[in-house]
Amino acid sequence: MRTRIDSVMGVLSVMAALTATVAWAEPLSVQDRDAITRLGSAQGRSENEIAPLLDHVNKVGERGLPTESLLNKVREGLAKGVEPKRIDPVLRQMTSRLESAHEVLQEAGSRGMEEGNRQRAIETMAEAFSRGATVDEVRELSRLSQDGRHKATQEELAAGAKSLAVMKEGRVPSKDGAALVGEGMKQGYRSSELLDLSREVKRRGSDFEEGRASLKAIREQVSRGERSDRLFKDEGHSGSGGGDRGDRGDRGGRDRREDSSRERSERQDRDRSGGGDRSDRIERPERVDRPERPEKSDRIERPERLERSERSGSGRDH
Amino acid sequence: MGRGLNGLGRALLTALIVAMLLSGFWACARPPAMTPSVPKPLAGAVRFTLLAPGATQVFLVGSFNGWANKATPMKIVEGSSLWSVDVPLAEGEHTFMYLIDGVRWMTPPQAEEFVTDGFGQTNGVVIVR
Repeated sequence: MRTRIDSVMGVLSVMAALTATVAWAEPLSVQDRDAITRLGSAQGRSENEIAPLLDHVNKVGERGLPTESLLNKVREGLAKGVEPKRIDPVLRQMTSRLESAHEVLQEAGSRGMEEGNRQRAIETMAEAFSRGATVDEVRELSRLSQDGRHKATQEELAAGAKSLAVMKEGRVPSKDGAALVGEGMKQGYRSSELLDLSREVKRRGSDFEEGRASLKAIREQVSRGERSDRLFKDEGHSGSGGGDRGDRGDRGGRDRREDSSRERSERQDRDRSGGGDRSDRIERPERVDRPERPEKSDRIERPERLERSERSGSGRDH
Repeated sequence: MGRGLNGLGRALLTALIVAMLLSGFWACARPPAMTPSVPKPLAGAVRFTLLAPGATQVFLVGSFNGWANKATPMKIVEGSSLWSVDVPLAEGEHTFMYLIDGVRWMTPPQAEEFVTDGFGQTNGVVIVR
């Protein structure tokens, strides 16, 4: 009787272990595979063309890395009529960033930093790398963030890295950006607060650059415990903030965004004035949004902002 | 004579006040005109608007609908070239583009952020807080 119970328990343990592995490895589901194959065939792509992409995603999942952003990129590419062989290098580049993100977070974990949401941490960190954060900067942030009372998690470290990347897009020097983000992390800023703060700093990048505003003053406010939604209040902007923004209240910020949008619209009109519409831009990527920094082939710079790269935007990530 | 002018002035002032009140009331009573803007948060949804003169069909396509081309059709605002749709979105960041007449992918003229898609085009980003 005891032997039978032991063997049943053994089988149950193996089943539980297998289930846990599957949940951790997150391989591609049959439904996802079918849906993407259908999407591809609607665009005239054969199953044979799409299968290697899906196999790649599956392998990434088997290595324990998150696959949602990759799947979204496959869907996006197919929907836009991109040839599967042009989707493949994009997936590989994204995978490489996911691996780097995984490594740097593991390193932080080995120093005792708690995990938080692991998948989200990896995807956010990968995005931070795609937007220009470096491993050294992440290490520095990790060091800064562990000095305070609040011990940041890996998920918060990833949000911090992304925030730093956003600030750098606004031409904030890495050192100043890291000091500000590190201070926010020490003060226990939530991921969304860090990101809102960084977007606000990016929007005001030229103010900081030209001395109309001071990052040091902002950092001091943060160190005194002020939350991100209070930092820019005096300047006629409701600013950043993780709270309820209602109509985003951020008229100043929005106006700037809309101004940027208008500039962008005018620029696109100019792009189009050469003839074809944007649909053929898929086939002729060299015509559009050419990166100004060749070492980062996926980043582009606009008069007021550096733009982000290859995010699939899979919902909540901060 | 002076008294007559005074009376006339008072009547004019009253008429002016009434006219101002009426125009204020009229402005409030009319629904606000929709204009293209950055995706705007509403209660439980986000409103996307796009000016697309000459378009016969416009779809909103993005990460939130799995990049399914025809999942989110936009409606034209009567008597204008403005297209609009309200979409419930989860908190987070979502990338999107507009698909016009089933063939032309259009980068949103207005969005909170922009991101290159790796394929040579640029997506808009909507951030839901």
